[in-house]
Amino acid sequence: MAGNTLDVYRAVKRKIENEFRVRELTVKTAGFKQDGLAETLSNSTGFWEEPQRVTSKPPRWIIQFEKNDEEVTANFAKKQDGALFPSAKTIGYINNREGNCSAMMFRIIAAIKTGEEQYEFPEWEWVMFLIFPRPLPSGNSSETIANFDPNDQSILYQRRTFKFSLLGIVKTDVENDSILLSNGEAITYLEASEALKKLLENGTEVENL
Amino acid sequence: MTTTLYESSDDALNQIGDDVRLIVGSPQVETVYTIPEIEPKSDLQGISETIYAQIRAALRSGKRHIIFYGPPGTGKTTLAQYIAQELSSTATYEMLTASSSWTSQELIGGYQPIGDGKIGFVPGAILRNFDRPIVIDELNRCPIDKVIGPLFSVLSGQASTLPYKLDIQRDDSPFHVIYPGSKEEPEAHEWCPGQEWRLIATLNTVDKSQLGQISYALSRRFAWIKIGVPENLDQFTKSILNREDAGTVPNPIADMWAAVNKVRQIGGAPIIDIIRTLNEMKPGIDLLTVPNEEMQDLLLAALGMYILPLLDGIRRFEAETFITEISHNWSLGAARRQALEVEMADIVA
Repeated sequence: MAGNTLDVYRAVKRKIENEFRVRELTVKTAGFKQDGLAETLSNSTGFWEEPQRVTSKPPRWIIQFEKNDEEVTANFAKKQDGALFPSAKTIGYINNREGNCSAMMFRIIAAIKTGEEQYEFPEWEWVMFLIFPRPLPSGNSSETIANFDPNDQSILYQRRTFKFSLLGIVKTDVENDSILLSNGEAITYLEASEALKKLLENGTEVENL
Repeated sequence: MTTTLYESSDDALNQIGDDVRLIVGSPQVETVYTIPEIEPKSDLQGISETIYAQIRAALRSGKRHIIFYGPPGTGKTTLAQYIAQELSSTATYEMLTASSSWTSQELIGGYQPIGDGKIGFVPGAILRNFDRPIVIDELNRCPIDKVIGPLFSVLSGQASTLPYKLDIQRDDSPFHVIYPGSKEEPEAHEWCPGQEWRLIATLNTVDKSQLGQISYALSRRFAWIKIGVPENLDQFTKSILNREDAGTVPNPIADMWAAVNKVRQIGGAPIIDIIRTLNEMKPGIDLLTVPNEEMQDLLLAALGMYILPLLDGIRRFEAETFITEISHNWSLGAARRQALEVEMADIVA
């Protein structure tokens, strides 16, 4: 994935850290060390080629997008039978040894459903961050942030549920902002961004599953 | 506000700051500066995690100033700029390139004409940028002790009085004073570093002409972090070629790099230059193969462009060893070996 994701990430992280410094809070991140992906993506499932290899340390959060009746919807990654992939709502992992993490940042990438069992992964990305009202308890070197729940506005960390106060989705610059579907329609980055916000805000698609 | 979609504009970034502040609360009156987490820079290759761990440890243990030292081309300057940016809440820092003509006037300050026939104290680059990190590139090029000398006391936590008056015309005018930390309501002649001020310098260990001028007293004010050549030249080269999965194959550029390092260590930057130039000279060239005659000529040309200038001044026996090794690794015939010998004759001391 190219674009200016890393620049956006650094700028956003710096903004949050500016507010955090006086309180000795930190921002924990994953997936931003490099732009390239070591793990392979599957164009037939719209998810990781080998999901079991990234379960504990997903470098990106994959969200699937499709367009029906001129409406773009965002979905947590699901299989062909409609069931969610086991780690579809695992958004990343953090290292919170010091126990002062009050924010986390991850990368969201798009899997665009262009046809039956056919997905495309454009160079579309969003920088996502969560702000918590209090620091999360200290943990091990790498602990997954799982079970993202848009309705409860919470995540699962160390087998406990923590509510976040703010979920930010920051757009990045994309070169090709429109993806053509097999039916002749197209999905734009702008449409996908709005659908993503809707999904993470109220989880409409989750309720429908 | 729980879920918000932001643009990546400056306005949106400010909005993020405002939104976060609403959650964590207004800053306390007494602010405590904390060191931000330094993460590896993704586009700076060849800098190991160990080096970042050293940087983090130095900063957390209270070392304010850092010197990155090592052979040329290892990424010292880029790393220094990155660290300076990361340690600045506004992402701003001052970049200075050292010069042999520097005096303390350039860095600290001194009397200069200020117009209307008058002279007065004009602060130097360090005092003008006492609120942010300062990167001094190629510190070895300036007379280090002489230039930074007036800061010795400050670096040791003591105030230092400069031999310059606030108003040179008045006998009772106070002298300029540099303090090691903040001071409540400093006066016009008092200079206090901000919390984010620090010196981050780079020092090229090949150019040793000025290294002897760094006194022990100054040395220990800095955390010295060595930026050496990458540990695995074969892997580094393959990563630049995007061929990490190539397995065990001939790697003539890594072989050459290893031969160079036996004579004089160099970093990855000239190697990246060589690869880019070879790709321009012959698009699609396979550089992980035993060189044929055409490739030998291209490699020798790139060697002359990027490596030989860095070997200027090597001894004759070092040159001979290098030529023998390169000839063997690249399977050079007699004519090409002789051409390399002629070219290297110019750089032998």
